[in-house]
Amino acid sequence: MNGKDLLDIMELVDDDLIAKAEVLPEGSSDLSERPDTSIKPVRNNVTRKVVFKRIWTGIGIGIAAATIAVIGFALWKTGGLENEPAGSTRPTGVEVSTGMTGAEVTTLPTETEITTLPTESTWDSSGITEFTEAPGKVLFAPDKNASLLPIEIEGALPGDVLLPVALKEEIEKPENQEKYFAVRIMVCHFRCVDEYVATHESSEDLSEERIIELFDKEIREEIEEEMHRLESAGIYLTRVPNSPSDELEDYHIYNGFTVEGYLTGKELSEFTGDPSRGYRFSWLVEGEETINPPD
Amino acid sequence: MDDSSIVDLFLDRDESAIRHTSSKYGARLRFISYGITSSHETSEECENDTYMEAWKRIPPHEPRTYLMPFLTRIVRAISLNRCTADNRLKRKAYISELTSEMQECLPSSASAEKELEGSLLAEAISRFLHEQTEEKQTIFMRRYFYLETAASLAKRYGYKESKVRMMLMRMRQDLSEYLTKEGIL
Repeated sequence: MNGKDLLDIMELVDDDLIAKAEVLPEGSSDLSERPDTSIKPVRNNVTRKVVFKRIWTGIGIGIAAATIAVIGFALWKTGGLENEPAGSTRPTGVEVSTGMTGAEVTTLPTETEITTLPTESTWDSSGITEFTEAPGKVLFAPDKNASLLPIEIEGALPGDVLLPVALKEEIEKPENQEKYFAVRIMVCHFRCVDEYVATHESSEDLSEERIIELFDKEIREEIEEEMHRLESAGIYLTRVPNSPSDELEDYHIYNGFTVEGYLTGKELSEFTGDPSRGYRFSWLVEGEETINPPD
Repeated sequence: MDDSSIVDLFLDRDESAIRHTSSKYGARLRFISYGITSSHETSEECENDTYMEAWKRIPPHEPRTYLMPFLTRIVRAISLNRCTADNRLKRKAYISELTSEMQECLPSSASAEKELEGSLLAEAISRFLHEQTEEKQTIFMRRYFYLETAASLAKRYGYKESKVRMMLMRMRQDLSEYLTKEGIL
């Protein structure tokens, strides 16, 4: 058995995998025959960037808009705008208020704290699926909306512990303190490529491939370290194999991994992360879990 | 014409089966073959060989519900053989690169040298791929089934080539671990 044999054997994989990965020729006349599951169009590069910049920029714009509105209102109330000559320059105070941009990421709290993000959806706890067969009773999210964070976040910054609103509300209920919640956690760790290279380049000349190789080795060590830390804290989770994890982005090395498990409401309420890492929780919908319920 | 009717024509030894297959799937088969051979002329030859091979294989096969994957497998195998056999095609180096990559999926232990039933291994690979995210599944299949280059995959997904290579490297390592854990290798 060698690599060539394995390459040949690939032709025996399941039909659906073959169909899913098929790409049709451009201008193909048989588009109607394209399988529903076939490959999706080219992804927009922008969507793959770390989304925090977008989120914080959005928040910044929101705050700036609100500030402008308040200042505008104040000026209107004091008659300031009426007296202002046409074409005059903008009051300098407004410029100060527009300063919150992606750079604000650096001002995020460094201490670990439970954070919830606002959501517009109304949370109805009546739909929770309770898995009563297992002795521990596992609570699953009623639907996908309740299971995820309300906005698209691909990771968490150091110190963040991000929980879906629905999960946060449920774990705070006294009657749920001893019940198990099925959760998946993305454990994240960002590092700048430049910094990373600086730590290694004194000893060798680093090509991009070599950085990837070193990084790969390092992340595996980090996973072991973090899993050990969690176990020491009495939190037992299972690594979700091959989940989206580390990525070498344009300006960041996004270093993370995903774990899954059943934590009680109390454990979740008291969850303490490593301040150098971020934790993005999702509450699993029944059937989404990949490991057995607790005994 | 639907796939089942085309297969019926093959079973009835009706030569119009090839015409119908060609009109329905010809462009796609040529496209797949071109992705492997990088030669228009060769891909047309491979397409025609695919119809001949399908003619031989139906019956006993009756791929009513999987005609396209059935043809895809044939055109892939024929195209790969052409790449390795035909010195005019400058694809040997590329196939060799892919072969080396696949070698990484095999543990270096002596047990890896044992003869394995291909279907057993393919089933394990399929199970492994089904556990992956859809994106990873597709990237792996595009690379090792359709033999797409990392540069092309990077363009398709809007990633840097280095990232695609890293994803593939990680998947190969995980596949190797998976096959060992499953007792396949």
